Amino acid sequence: MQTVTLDHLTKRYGGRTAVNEISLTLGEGVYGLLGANGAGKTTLMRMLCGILEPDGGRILYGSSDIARLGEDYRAMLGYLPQDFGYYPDFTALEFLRYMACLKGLTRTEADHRIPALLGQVGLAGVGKKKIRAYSGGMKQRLGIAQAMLNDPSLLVLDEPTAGLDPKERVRFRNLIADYAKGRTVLLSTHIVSDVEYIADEILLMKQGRLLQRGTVEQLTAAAAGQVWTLCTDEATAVGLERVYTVANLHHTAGGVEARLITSDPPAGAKAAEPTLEDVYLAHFADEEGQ
Amino acid sequence: MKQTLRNVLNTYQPPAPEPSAKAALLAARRTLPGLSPAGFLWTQLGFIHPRMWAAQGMLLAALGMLVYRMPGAESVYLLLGSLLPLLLVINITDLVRVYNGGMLELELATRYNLPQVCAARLLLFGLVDFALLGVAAALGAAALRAQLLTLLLYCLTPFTLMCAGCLAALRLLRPDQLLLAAVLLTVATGAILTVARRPLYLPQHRPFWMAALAVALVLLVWQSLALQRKGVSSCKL
Amino acid sequence: MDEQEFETLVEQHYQSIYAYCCRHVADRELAQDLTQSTFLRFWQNRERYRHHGKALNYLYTIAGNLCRDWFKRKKPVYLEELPEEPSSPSADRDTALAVRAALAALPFRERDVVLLHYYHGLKAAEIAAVTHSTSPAVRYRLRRAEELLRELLKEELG
Repeated sequence: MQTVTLDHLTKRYGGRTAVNEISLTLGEGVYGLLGANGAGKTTLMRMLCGILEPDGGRILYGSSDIARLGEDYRAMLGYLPQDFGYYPDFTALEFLRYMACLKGLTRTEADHRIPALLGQVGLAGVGKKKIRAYSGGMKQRLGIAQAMLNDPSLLVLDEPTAGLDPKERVRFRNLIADYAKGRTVLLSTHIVSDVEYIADEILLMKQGRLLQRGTVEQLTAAAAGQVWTLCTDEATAVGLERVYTVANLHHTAGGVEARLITSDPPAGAKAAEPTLEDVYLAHFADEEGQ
Repeated sequence: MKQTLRNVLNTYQPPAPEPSAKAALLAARRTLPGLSPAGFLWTQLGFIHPRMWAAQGMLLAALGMLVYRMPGAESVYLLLGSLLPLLLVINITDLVRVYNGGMLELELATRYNLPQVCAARLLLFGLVDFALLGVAAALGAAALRAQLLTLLLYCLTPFTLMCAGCLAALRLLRPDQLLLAAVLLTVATGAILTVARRPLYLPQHRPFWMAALAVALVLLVWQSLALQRKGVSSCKL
Repeated sequence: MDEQEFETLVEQHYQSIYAYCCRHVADRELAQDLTQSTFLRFWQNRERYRHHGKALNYLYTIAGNLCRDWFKRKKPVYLEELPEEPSSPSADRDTALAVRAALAALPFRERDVVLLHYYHGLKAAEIAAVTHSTSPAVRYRLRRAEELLRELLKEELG
């Protein structure tokens, strides 16, 4: 298994730098790319898949530049874009056969892999239905299936859980956790729970830069002393939201339990064990809703 | 002491391979396409929607019927020269479907990616269209009892010019502009041939047609090479 | 043939094909590249393999063709330039070097039959199938190669 190295990768759109000098190495395992909308995740992933040319830096697969490797690199890549399109006339089976052809699989190989993949993503009985009749969640699962068709060594998934219900999300997490053995999976999301349990490493991205990286334990340990809980009344709780980043407000019979992200807690607050969601909010609370 | 040749030869043992060599081989195998480039071309044929071939067949049938109703040779030349390029318009509608479906990103990230899909389909359409053009010319020559080569000259020249124009459009224009460009080129070709038909088809002007065909072929080769080098404009994000 | 079967094939025969290539080209890195190309070419043509008998012999055919093509493209390497040291025990080191030099001095087809017969245990009929030749031609080449080797390795043979 070869590593993927991003070396001072940069992409600009006019005056705006979407990806700013990002350097990192991806090895075996699941990498969760966390960031708010507009952080540059999609741009980074598009460059990683060779469909956007960087303005600076390069991407290496092993020791070779992916621009030079060309189709040999794309051959071991699986990609699910954020806005996944399809040909409306196609059934799921026809679509997967078409994608298999583009990925260089013979008809025999495709016929061998497609039924298993459809089963893995829970679309076993509906392969002959037209994709336009699929629900959003079904389309997304079909997208995940096509990304895995060629048994890629590098699987790049951009917001793969969009449109999936909680049961489907759990199924997806288990699928990815199994798949990542001996392979590299990079998945981007702004939903923390998508990656919290399966990511071997979290990459926090903000405004084109890599803010932090580490295991969930490392990131949450670094946030020690930043998360507090405070039991108070409704009126005070409303006031807290104006001053602090509030991770959660839990209404109880006795009042409101507020979970605050701050390094300067109010009087009476108790230190709490940080979660990955807290870490996310600590960095991105100002960007949520943009 | 005398040694046998076998014993002496067996003293030479090559050095062991690097420990990572086998793993590198297995990794390299995974990058190989099971589908060869020829196999890819063949399967692309299967993915061109039957309605494309049906539309081409219907156009040819319609042209065939009209050819037999045309009053004279000049009308047949004009009909075939100005309407055969519609075959190319049909081809363009197939090529642009990828943008309407939002498949662009997916098809850019595969081993055989979108530029290769476009090239494969252009080649397939090109081969079929030139065959259909030959059939149309043969029908026309039979109807007119005219020389097949003359008719081919009058059909091939505007068709080749249109091909070159379509390749330039693929290279330079956005996806939403492609179909309009192909239609406008067809209309312009038909208009020029209609306006100039009286002198155009006189026997003494055949050298002009041959020169025009030569220029058209040069343009076609030039645009093909340019497209190969610079890629389809619409095949980029 | 699926991926698992291919991996088993590599496991079983990598060493044999590598040794064959290495004795032809006397260069470890090059032999590894040729071995890799052999197996990848086998994979790409695995449908055709069904009609070719033993997998190992088919691999020898592919490897032999690749080695021959390489020799056609490259200038002959002089004895003093041979890069790779054999891995023989030191007592036989001088003999091994002499053998390596003698093999390099043989014409390609003669060296090929020597390698396949003496190092890989193939009989004349099998070598004929591998090299797309005939048994009499193989025996002739083998005799000629043995004469040349006996001349080149006079001292070592005693």
